[in-house]
Amino acid sequence: MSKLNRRAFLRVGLGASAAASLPAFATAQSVAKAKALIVLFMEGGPSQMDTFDLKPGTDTGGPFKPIGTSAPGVRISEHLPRLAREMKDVSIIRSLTSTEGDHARGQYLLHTGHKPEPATTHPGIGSYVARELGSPNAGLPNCITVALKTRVPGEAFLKPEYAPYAVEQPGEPIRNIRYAMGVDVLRFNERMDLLRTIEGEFASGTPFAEGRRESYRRADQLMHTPELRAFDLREEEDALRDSYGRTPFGQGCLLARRLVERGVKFIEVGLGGWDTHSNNFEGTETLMDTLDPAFATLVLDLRRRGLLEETLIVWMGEFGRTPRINPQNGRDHWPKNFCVAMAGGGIQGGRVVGATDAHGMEIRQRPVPVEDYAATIYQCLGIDAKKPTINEMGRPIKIQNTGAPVRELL
Amino acid sequence: MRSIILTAGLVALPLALSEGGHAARVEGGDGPGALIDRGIAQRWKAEGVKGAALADDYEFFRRLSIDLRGVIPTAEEVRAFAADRDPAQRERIVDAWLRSEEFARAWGRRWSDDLAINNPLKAKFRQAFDAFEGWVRDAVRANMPYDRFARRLLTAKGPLDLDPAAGFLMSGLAMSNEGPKDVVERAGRIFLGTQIRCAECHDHPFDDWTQEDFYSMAGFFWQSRAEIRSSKDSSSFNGWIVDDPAKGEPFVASAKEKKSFAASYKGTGEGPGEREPRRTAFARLLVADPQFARAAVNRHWGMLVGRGFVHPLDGFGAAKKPSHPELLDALAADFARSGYDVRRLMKAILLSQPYQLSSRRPDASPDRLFARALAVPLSPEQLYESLVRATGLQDQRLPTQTKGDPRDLREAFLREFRPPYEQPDPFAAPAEATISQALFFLNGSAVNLAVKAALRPKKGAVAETDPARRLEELYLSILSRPPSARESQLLLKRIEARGGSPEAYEDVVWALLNSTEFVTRH
Repeated sequence: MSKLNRRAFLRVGLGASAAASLPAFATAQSVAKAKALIVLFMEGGPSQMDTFDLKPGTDTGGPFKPIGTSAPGVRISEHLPRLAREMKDVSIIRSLTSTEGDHARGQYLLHTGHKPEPATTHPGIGSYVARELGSPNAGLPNCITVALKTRVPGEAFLKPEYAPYAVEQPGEPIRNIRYAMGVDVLRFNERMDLLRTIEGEFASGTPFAEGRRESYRRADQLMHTPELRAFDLREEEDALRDSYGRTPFGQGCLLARRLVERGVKFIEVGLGGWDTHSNNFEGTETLMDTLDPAFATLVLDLRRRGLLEETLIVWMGEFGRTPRINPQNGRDHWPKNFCVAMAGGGIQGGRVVGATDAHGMEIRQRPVPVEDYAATIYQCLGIDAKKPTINEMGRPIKIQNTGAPVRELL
Repeated sequence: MRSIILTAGLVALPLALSEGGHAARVEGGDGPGALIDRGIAQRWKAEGVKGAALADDYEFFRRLSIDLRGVIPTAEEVRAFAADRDPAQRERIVDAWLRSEEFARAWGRRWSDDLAINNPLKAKFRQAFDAFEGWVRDAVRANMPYDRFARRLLTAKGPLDLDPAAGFLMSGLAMSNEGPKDVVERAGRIFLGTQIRCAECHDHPFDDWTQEDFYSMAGFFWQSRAEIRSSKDSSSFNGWIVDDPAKGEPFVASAKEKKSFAASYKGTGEGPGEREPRRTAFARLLVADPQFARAAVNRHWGMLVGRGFVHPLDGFGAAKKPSHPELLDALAADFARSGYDVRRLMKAILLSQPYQLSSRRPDASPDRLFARALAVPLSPEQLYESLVRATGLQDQRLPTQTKGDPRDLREAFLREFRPPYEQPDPFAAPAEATISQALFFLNGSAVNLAVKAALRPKKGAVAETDPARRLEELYLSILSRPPSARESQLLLKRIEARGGSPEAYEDVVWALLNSTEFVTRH
């Protein structure tokens, strides 16, 4: 395909289904490959200076050394040795930039692709992905969060069935899924019958009542699906569980893989503790000890199962941290330039987009606004986020109104 | 029960609608209540819409209880109200509840949550904000004139323990360098009903606010900052507002130039008088702005009716017309003339025709016409308090299921139902029932403890054995109404088929608690 054609194709933004009917386009790299999205959310804002954009030997660099990786020329922190081996499948954006230096505002931005506006609460990317790609008859919820400490943007004006379903402790039985004490299947059915009688036509036609009834239907379905096995990590071999790391984050990544296998469209796994205003280096090193085996094994495990090409993995936090090291040996909030990593799902691995200056204070090359990061995710998933969606006020709004995919990664 | 159809033909009658001696309202032709009835009905006529039937006493009473007290009424209260034949009973209960401690508590909470929304200090120094909430509660209880309420919040100096009104400014100013901007955003949202923050980065896309307007508004607070003193373990906390003239003026710097802005109200050029403190000047200019009264009326109307004339409540803008512009202006002028008498305004709304309509009707007219009462989901706090009141459930320690789960029932409940981001406008995007919340109600221990509590014999009461009367009691306690004939018939048949076993009643209670009717204000 000629360059011109490809660009034209990108502009019209055909999704996977449309592309499938056009075999001539099917080989284009831009055709959506990802069927599911896994977000690894580093709660608190991870230090780009100590993970993916090191500045060794400078006054801002800190003690960590960069190491080579399986991607030629790409160097990352010495405390991510196992991930280094998988970097041929992972790419980094080193020049993500925003102006949101407050946790809640930054989290909102990275989760929705929008700055917080008092006028509208935007749906999280996960809820939108669930709505666009999820099947209404899926036994499991299509948007699941695992081990998150903070609460992230949810379905907003989309239907409540797309709200993130929170699993707090991966490996433990999920909450409220079993019949209450003294209730068996017969009695549960009796209760649901009684509820239908009382419910009648109450508030029929209002979005609240209709959405609530749909959530009840989905909850009932979830209680009774054999897919619930997905949450039982004991089905996995011990060696693999060890390889992910026996941490909530590590086991959460394993759970994410199991959920992807069962067709769940969005899983977000949280790793908290990155808000290292003091003792940044001790804190960050400990966190990387948890992150490294989990992230690396997730990439490896998905690849072995042939799922990496159709699963997009995004590693991100709400912002980065100051290049300058403060008197408490910490780093503070720094949204000006920070990193995200992406893998699988149509992302070309082993690439680096953007560059910062010698001290990590300024972007030297290719600033990437967060809107572009969101557009890249939607592009990989074949979702047209610029089509109008009706919000709670009955007005058509675009999930995304600006932003262009980062071509270098596709 | 009454069921009068209000029609546009009644517009000319500013009189009460009544049947069987129950008057909805009696008021003269020019009061705010009459303005509402006329203004709303005129629009029905213009759009060819008929108002819904008047709400019966059960529906009205439950709605009023939730709106004023934040919780459903008890079965005893419901029975007493339904039996009351006094024609002025609705007016009497409105008056009584507007003066009740439960009202002061519920509205003190509602207002203080909204004023100090998304405030990072609130979670950390709860007791300091308890003092702030207490101050707001006192203001509600004393029916503090609304202009004075605004002025006190904007000019308070602290310290918090002696002058808790300072909690409002602390909420914004504690946001470090964003402080003054955050304060302007909060003040604009609550007191002007508009979102001026969008003008921070660019001229407002839908409005006549410019970037210059925003920064000159921020100028009134630019020299203010919060000073905080807290013990290391956060157990004690105090804070106050410092105004520091040395701080200079807000500015916007670009590569080419640095533009700074003098304090000026909405870009009118009106600023502080000679030796007048900036915040005092802001408060003076704000309450003199006709938009101040308009936003206040819209906010109270929206909080009571479930939807503003401008919706969301902070959605005022040049491009957005209120649903009833003349009515809003007339009510705002009346509110200002009354000396910003909040209780008088609320009473007028609560006794107006639109407030007293039924929420049930077969045909759906647009919400903005207020031709029926709106069904709105209860807030998480209202839902929990109502569950407690309906069943006699008590807060208690829970056996933890999962590490990290809250141990107390109330806390676990609220965590499940609170939205991830505090919503500035409680009605803009109501927290809908997620799958997780549905499971919480279907199987969770809170609801099952409530089911057991509801059927535990009440102290000193004779256990009722007649199935029909037991069923009615459960309906009155949970849904604040008796069962319909159809419901009675169907449910009694089920109960009989199971030999009237305790489980049969438990399952009925469970179903009532799981109904959409229970979890909404309607």
